[in-house]
Amino acid sequence: MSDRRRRIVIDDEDDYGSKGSSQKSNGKRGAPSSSQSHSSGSQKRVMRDVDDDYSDQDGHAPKTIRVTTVGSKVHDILPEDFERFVKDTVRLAIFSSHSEAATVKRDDIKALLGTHTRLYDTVFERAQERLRKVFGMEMAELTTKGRSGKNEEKGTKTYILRNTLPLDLLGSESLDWDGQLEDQGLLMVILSFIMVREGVIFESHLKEHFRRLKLTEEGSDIDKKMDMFMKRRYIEKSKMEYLDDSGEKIEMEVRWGARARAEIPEENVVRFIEEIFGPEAPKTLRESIVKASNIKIKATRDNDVDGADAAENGAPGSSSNAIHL
Amino acid sequence: MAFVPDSPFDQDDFTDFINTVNDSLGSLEFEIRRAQDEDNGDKILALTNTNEQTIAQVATGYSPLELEYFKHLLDAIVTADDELYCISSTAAVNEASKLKNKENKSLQLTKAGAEDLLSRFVQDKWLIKSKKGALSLSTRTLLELQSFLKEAYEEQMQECTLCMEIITKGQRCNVAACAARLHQHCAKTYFANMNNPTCPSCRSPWDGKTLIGLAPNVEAPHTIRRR
Repeated sequence: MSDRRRRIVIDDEDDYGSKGSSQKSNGKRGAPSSSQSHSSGSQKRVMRDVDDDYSDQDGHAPKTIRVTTVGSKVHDILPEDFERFVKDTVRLAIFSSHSEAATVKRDDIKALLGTHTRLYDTVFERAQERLRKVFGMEMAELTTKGRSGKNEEKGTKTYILRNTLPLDLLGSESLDWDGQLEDQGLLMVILSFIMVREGVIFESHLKEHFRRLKLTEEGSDIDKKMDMFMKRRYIEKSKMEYLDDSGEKIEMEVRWGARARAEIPEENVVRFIEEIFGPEAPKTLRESIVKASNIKIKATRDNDVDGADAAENGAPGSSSNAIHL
Repeated sequence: MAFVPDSPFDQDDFTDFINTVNDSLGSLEFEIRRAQDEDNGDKILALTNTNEQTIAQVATGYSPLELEYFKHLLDAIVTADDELYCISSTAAVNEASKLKNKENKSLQLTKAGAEDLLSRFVQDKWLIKSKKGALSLSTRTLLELQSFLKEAYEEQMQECTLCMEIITKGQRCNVAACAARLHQHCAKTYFANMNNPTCPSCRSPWDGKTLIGLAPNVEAPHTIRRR
């Protein structure tokens, strides 16, 4: 990352601070409040509130900011335009999270940039900062894992919004999940079964678990729920052919889907299982789960319960994650 | 998702809190707006998109044709005769065949397609459908399209005399020339300690039986009549 690029980010911190007041007093809008002492080359960088009528600002010609992208290419762009790109990206991410797929594609973001697609990386990064700061969320790329599960994860250029706030805050009873809790519980149960079998389970075995949990009784909509989880990419199914003593067999395998991998840290599933066991859990439960799952998280639970989340989503104390009210 | 405070809290602190959040949201053209549900008086907070010039496809997940249909329905509902602020589902479906594009050609929205779309509007809480099939504006629509409605339908949109917010369901003054309108929940508050309720504006007796919006359990007219 170039030095210059980082500095743009710092500049804008000042700009947020002055935003509230500058928006109300229209007359002063455009005062170069954050430009003092930050000059890049011969260009003075002025960040202003975005407004369509900015160009008649005191009769001066519009000033541009200079954005250095990877490869040290320099682009001059109006600060208003740059801010607009960042804003539109954030808005697109928020709106998309309400669609059925809940995803936003890289190409859709690029389409917002028009002829400035080279700014993509910078805009994306700035949009991430705004999302974390204002919404406690960030865009996470969905990955493909390949059928065997052994292939390297590949990016799909598709993003979902995921939470960056500490888990404990979400568990607060102030939130009414509107009946979604039931589905979430079921999903966590399914993900748990998959995880403790090193990431893959035969669908027939999963159904056997459902039967024992009395989820398959008359009038049950478990199949519909499974389809919904698949559609939302929380789980994936694939066909598996194999030979055993009785000949060739075909089974469906169920794995975590791209969205589960991006959204749900394994630590959360471990904690979920621990919670289900409750106070009667054997002392070695956590260790057993981690071992069975073959995952790389701490086998012992220490006092810092948020530690694992922090590693996953950015430390709670870091400026990008904390909410400054 | 709703925010349900589980303990009494300080209203002023809460307002400060919302204002602080809105300071951050404002730079992204979002705002948390507060309202009361016109049907049951429930207090509601909603994250709204303040960039109303683009009731955009991306913001709503609807195609341009579907948005066109929505605007059409919005128009029929807002301009409904006798301050009904609603239309029947039958009338809404019939409206679909009247959709025209800019070149004045009919748009392809079948009856079945219109019915599906209507249930999506209801499911996504843009419209409310009564048990008798009457379609009216939801709190979501009133909040998100606030400025649009006030500007585009300056004549038709009315304000509650007490809370000054848009009103499409509630009570109105018996005197035809009087502009007093009250939400049901606002009327309850306002008349709470009055033995002989009188109009807050013209002081004539107020019986609370003359309504704005459709009375519950009544069917909306099957044809659209505009004011």
